[in-house]
Amino acid sequence: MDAIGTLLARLFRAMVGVALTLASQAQAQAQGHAGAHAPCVGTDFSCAASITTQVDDRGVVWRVGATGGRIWLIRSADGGRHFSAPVLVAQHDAALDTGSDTRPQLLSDGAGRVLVAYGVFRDRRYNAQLMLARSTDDGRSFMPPRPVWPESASQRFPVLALGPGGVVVLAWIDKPSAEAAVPQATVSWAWSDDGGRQFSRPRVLSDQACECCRLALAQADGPPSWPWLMFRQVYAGDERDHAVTALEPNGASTLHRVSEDRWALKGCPHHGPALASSAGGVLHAAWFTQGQARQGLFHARSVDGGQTFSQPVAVGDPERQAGRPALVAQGGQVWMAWKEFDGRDVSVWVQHSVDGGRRWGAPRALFRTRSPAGHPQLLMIEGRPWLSWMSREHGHPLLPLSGRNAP
Amino acid sequence: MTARPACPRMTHRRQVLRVLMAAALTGALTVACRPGMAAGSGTRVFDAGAFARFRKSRAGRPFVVQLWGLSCPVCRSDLPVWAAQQRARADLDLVLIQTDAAPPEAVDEVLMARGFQSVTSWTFAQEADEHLRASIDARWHGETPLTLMVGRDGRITRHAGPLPPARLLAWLDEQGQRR
Repeated sequence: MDAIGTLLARLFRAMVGVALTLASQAQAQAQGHAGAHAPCVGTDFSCAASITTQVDDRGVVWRVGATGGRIWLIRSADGGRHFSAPVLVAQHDAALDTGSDTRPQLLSDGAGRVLVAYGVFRDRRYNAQLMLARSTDDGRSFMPPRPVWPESASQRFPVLALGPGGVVVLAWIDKPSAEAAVPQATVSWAWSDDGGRQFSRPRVLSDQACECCRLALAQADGPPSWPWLMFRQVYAGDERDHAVTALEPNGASTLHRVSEDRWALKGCPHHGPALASSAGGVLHAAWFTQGQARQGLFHARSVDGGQTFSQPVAVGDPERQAGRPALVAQGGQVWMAWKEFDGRDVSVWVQHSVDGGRRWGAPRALFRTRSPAGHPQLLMIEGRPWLSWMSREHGHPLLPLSGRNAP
Repeated sequence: MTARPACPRMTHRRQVLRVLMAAALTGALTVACRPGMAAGSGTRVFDAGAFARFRKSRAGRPFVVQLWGLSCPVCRSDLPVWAAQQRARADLDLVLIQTDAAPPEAVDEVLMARGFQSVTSWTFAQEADEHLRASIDARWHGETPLTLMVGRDGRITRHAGPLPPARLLAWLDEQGQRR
């Protein structure tokens, strides 16, 4: 080859080398933090990134998961050891409102009626419509989902629980107007005594609630009574602290401020609370705050049905973003779970109290992962506490926290 | 003696063509991989390394990061204020990072409707998980709006909630005096 040809050939090889380097850098960027954990690309339950687990009065364990715009359901008749093939509950493609904070919600009344509640986006401004999918054959099939109240501008973050006599209780955050400049919303609730076919007229618990916050609904443990609801209220001075109320179908519900954290934020905290009840009107609350009085994850208990709460106690390591709490209680036994992050790995922690939440045992880490992970959920199955969780690395673990097979 | 395979001799014209094509490919990759894409090219998808790359590209120069969300009404109503600030102050290097799982075109639509003609803009396009949040600010738990003013010396001033314009102007003036 002549000199010009050699030069051109070398120039070409150099250009190709630079291009390959840039391309591999771009690929490394695209992989991002997920590292070796490639996205799950299926549209079946195994790819669900958003999971809720429930158990009904018969001990049947239910799991609903959202993936690829679809909601799937599986059920177990042997306490969570084996699950059925997935049943498709609903399909809304990109419009499905789903994520760790908007997991589809499920309720089985133990008499063959199963309800799944979730949101579907109406527009690109995060206005959503609350949808209910109903099964009357114990979850084998679902009727086409329907909107319950199409009139309001936006409904998100539904929560479900059972009330006295098997009444279905549904609560959600409602926005009267899509373009309201004032970032407040109402927290509304309704009930159904026919398994979710028809609901009562919605009751408004608060019209000064934080719109971009979350709800926690605690089903009563023990003698039948109506559930308790916890949500972030906008108090004077834009202070977004949590309130708890006992749902009262016949009278006005009273809001009780859980603590004076004084998180004055003209904006969206996003971070949701946890609430559990045990017999005798004892309530356990856990929440995240960046208030003037305290910052981090906290727990408090109430022995008078939510009217007053104990002094908040810090939970987890605030230097590691302790947050996303979960709670379950039975009698004097209380379990709490939360997440932490050390800059590289997400970890799931649990701690246990045997005296109704006054004192706690040493926290222990159950999982650690670098892959994307959801928020922990706790529930009682066959009288034992179980943890339900999702991570791309671990899948959808469901494991007991005490007794045989506990970690 | 090893026999050399017979290769057709490439003309200079073809070689020049190859070099030009390789140069075009390299140029395209350089543009696509550059951190902090120049204004006017639309919202880009954020990844856990994007902020570090962006800071490196701005080393020694002050810039302001606004963390906001489509699901955050206060954030949306605050955007026109930022658009006005950007027009008024040539020394404001503004970066918008949208933190909901919204695609770029949804973010662009809102930005244009709120008065931005061109701005450096990213979207998480996925859940605001621990990794993405910590890649920007280790103390940020996801609340919005949050403003991070990154000074010449790399020091960060944080403000949660809508930033009063006077505070931004005072900070910009102070950064200008430090030059």
